[in-house]
Amino acid sequence: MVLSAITEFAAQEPKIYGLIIGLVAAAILASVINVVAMLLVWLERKVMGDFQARYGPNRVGGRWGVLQLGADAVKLFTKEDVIPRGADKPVFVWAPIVAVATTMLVAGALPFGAVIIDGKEIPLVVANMDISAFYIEAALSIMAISAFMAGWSSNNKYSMLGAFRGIARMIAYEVPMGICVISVAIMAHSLNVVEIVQAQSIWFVIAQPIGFVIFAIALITDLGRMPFDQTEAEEEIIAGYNTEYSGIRFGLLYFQEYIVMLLGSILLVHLYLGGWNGPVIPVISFISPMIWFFMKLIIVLVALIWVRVSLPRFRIDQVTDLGWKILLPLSMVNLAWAVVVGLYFA
Amino acid sequence: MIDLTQFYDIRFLIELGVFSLFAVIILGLSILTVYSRNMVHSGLYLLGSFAAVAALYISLNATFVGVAQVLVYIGAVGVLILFAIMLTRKTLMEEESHG
Repeated sequence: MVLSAITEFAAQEPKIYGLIIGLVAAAILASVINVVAMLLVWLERKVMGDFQARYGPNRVGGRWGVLQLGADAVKLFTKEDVIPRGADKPVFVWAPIVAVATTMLVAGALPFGAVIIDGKEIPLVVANMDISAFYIEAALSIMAISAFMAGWSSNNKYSMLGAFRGIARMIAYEVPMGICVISVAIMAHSLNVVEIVQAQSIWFVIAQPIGFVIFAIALITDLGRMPFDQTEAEEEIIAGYNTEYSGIRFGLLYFQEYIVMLLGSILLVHLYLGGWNGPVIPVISFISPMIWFFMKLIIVLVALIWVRVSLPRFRIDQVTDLGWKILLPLSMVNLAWAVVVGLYFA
Repeated sequence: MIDLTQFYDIRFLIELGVFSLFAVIILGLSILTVYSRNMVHSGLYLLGSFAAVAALYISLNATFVGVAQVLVYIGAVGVLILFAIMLTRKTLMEEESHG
């Protein structure tokens, strides 16, 4: 009875129905992403432990230490929240909120796998726009603002240096990353991430190997992870723009890094590794795209952690040199390659 | 004669409400941009008003223009403005503004 009433309402007012469904989906998405980001913190600590021949978290929550993330969250949320006396209070308070909000913008347009119902592939995405790849690129480009706000308002020279480095790094790597997204869009004949995934009968990592390497490096830089985490190089500038933060605000900035890591890996899987494409598994064909998607996602996430524990940190001048002098010309080459192959040989 | 029945249409009311909300946000943030004593606050208010303009474009079904507004004005111009302000000297500006 309720179901038929809902269907009737959906037929009468499709726009308002769509709005309500979108809001509900966004709320579910936001909570799920936070939980997955916490799991990611646990995964990273555990995998890093394995790489470094130690146990990692193993005290809270049994042998695997799975409840460690809950304990961490409780600790962060209940710690004293200190605002430095010289800080610019409103900007200081708003910086973590802006950081998480701009990150959530990216999540809205990213598909989180797909399910097959009646032989039809239905992507799980909150906002399926024609220009979602462009939108994601735009949302990634405004993440520098929260870093600037946090660094400037702390009234601390190390925070300020962290913000400087963050902005210099993001400007240097936004351009090659954007050109890589354009190359992918040219080859797929679409800016919609769902259509880009569906266009990959051959994965773009094979069709554009240079583009994949550039995008992966630019992504690691955008995420601010080793070997490109100059913004929080402990030996040089304490913790960059995180230095003065504590308690729940530090928790937000910290979780934001892991949310971005998750979303960035999903974007990499969609653009270059064929998203949820893969042979249909016979018995559980309903969720077989999900299985492929999560398999690729976990491989990418573990590879990111692998890079982190394997490589030492570069200097900031080496990082900007790499961005402007090597990756930018190479991304142009990749663009030319995508145009020639995608438009003339396809 | 204005047809008053259109005001009872829920879709029209939602559209009007969304437009008024963003119009007020744009106006308020623009005024704050001009009157703020602190240059960094001015810059951040300006970014906020850019974002509200992007939201206005999107509410008018011009999604591409809205996203381009975010990428070009917030992502590039805004960050450049903030970067330029950050390179200026804070104490010097305060002396000038009081003198």
